[in-house]
Amino acid sequence: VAVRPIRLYPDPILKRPTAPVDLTDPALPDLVQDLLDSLEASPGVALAAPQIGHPVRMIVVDVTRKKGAHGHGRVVLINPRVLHQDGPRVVREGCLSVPDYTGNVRRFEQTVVEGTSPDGRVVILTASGFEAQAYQHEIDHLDGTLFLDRLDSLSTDLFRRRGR
Amino acid sequence: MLSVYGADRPGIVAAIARAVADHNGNITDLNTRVIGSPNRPVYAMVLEIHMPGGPQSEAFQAALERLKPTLGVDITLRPIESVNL
Repeated sequence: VAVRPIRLYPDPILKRPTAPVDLTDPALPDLVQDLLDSLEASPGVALAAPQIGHPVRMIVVDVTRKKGAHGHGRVVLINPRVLHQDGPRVVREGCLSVPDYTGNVRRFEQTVVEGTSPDGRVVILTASGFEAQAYQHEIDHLDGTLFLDRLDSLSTDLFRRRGR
Repeated sequence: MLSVYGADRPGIVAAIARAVADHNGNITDLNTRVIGSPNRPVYAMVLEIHMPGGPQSEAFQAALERLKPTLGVDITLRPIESVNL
């Protein structure tokens, strides 16, 4: 029920694998709301719980926060996992936790993700393009993986953002 | 592909190179950069390595795990995937 500060690399919480969420935990609704409030206050399209200081498996994605982007709208997924992905390609991406840089990483054009919604329903969704990239990026966070870990070359694939 | 990130300090390159050599590996490419902000510099190094027994050698992975706390760095090892187009 609050906007939490975004943890920045090299905060160690970003590099640790996270724990599954207990769906009966009475603190769960507050954590969901913190994640939603923190995304709302951020310039990003998605957040993972460890980015706001909770080392558990929960993400929120809403690519429609970016002008012109299409997708499923705002989705909170608890204990999400990738069921299938296809169509490898190299894309440029950044991260709220690595604010000054972007990098070229390999992601998949299509991804099928399964998880549980905050009201306990099993959700399976198919995302493509930018939205698929967002889900892959956020689920990476739950395993302690940053886009930095997926770079092939620091000299050709890592870029400092302009105007900083 | 081996990624190493952490606070800058002397000996990171030496220790990583030693671990690769101790496990009969070859470093085929290596690049480094200092990223992060001026008051919180982060040393970054990405190495392409060839391990004779494949990258999944448990002894090599264990050696890297031991280096993490010693050097104060994060180390990620992943196979090189190539896409045929």
